[in-house]
Amino acid sequence: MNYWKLYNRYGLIIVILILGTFLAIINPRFLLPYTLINILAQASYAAIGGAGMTLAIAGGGFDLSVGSILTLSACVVATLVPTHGILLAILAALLVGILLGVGNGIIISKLDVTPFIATLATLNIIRGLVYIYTAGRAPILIRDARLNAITAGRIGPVPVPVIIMIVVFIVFYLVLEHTRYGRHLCGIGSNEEAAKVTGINVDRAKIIVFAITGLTAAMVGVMRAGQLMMADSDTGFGYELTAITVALVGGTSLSGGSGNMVGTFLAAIFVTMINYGLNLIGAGVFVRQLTLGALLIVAVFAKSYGGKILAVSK
Amino acid sequence: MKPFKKDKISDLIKKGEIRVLLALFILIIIIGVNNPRFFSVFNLQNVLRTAAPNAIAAFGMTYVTLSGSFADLSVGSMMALLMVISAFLLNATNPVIAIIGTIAAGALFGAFNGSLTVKGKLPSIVVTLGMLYVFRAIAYIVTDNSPIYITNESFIWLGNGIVLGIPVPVIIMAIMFVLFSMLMRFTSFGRRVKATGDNDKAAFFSGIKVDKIKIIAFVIVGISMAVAGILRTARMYSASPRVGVGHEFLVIAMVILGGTRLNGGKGTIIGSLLGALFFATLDNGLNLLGIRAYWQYIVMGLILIIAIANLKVDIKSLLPEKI
Repeated sequence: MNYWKLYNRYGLIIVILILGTFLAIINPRFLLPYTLINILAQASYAAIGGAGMTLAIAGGGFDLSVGSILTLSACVVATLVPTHGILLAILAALLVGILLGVGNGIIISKLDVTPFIATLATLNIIRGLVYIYTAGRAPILIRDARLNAITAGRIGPVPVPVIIMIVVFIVFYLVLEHTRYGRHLCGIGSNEEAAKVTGINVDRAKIIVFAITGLTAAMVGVMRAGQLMMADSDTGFGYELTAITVALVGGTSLSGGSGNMVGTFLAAIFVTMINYGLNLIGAGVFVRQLTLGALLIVAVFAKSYGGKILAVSK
Repeated sequence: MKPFKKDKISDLIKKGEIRVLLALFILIIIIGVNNPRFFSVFNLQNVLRTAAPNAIAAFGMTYVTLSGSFADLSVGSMMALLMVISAFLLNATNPVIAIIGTIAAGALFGAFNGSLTVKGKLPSIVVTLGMLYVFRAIAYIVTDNSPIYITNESFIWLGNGIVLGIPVPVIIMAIMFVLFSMLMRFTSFGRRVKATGDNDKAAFFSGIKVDKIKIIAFVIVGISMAVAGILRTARMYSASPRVGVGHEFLVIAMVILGGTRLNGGKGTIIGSLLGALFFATLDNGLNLLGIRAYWQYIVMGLILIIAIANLKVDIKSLLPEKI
């Protein structure tokens, strides 16, 4: 049996089980259904953006602007709820995410700017928009408790974020693995020139994938605003790291051409468990950031190193 | 003196640099017409003093981009941590040890980023994105999220002093510019960096130690961030772990605007200097014209996109056909 093959296929599940055992030993309450469901609910914030990022990476790009899009959508929903009602506010926020994503896609495809630079630039442009939109105001508080019920409440025993997450993953999994669009996207990710020659509309596919990534960021923005009942210019700070980490830890390769939705889902749970553990031992938010950054590097390193051993043993 | 003879002035300033020079010229005219105070000695000193640490950072980043490693996303956080280190060393010892120690730490951070990227065969964007958060978190943790103040007069002079009407940071920038340009143009190392960025396989087969070159490029950016960090600490009389959030964007924008090719192989230090001067002038101009600070994010983002946009629409097809 080859251990690296085993690691590549079931590694995350094994790591999650080990970490889970460890957490259960430190804190027996970890195994209560309440805690486990809560961890799933917490994981949904990282998972949904990670799912969008996985698609973008499969298509050979990636998106650094998701944190800013998240923030702007959260601020839009927070300001519009009192004046336009919950439904319109949510739709507007999601539309903002889609439009910003389309903007990213147009810059990347039509203006031929590398995704890295394009989204680094839009990260800052959208951050500027956030400041202008909120006019540097203090946190925007939301007083309508129904938003909280819709985005962060529970249906029976199941939290709404978990339901949203599961729907997103089923849809995204099917899109990536079982639709023509998914095949086209992977084709573009592995070899753009070849994809062009075979008649795929590369520009359109790219614009769509960045619109999807923008939409997922906006969804998380709305959910965050609903969960915290407020939004400010810091709401989405560092979210690009979370989304990219979750996608890459899940086994999706930055070189594009394929995506691992199941891995992204598991990675989101894994990251949330780590945060839960760090919380247990009383580590602050900065230690969590440090761990996340280190985890990203360790994960890509393990993947590259594991691949090398696999190649040698063949 | 042979190399000096070979290079004409027209070689020195290539197309990308001319573009940013023109842009800078137009910008200065627009600002000057709207607010003549721009040309006051005090204001010009201010513009150059603001530009200095950013330009020094851009010089270092130019090497990373030229060597084909895209960019170092961790520079902003790295600078914050280096500032903390410089202030800590200064308060514990003396300015000389603080400067040497900070530069050594910068080189070490760069070597770490570079080795991880090159030896681990990992994408530099992912490694440096991870380190962006690691450096920042360490800076927060060691300072307990509060600034460290400094009082040493001679250290503060580095950031605030003026010699013969020229701010000290600008003099240091000029020295760094000469050093980095010479390294790029007149040494075999400079040529190897470009060869590596242009085509690393070809460079490898022609006997260049590609890995070493790429790691050294990261060390160089680490050293530049240390110098930039020292100047900033001195200027602000303190080191705060919050400094430099989003700084990587500014530095990369300067380098790209200065005509350095994102895929490596082509670019100059003078281009990055002009890019830095352009953004410092823009920053100052927006302030003078009373435009709110956060518009700068939008303007800078748009300029970056315009600078490297490559319209797929064939312009010729839009023109009327030749008769």
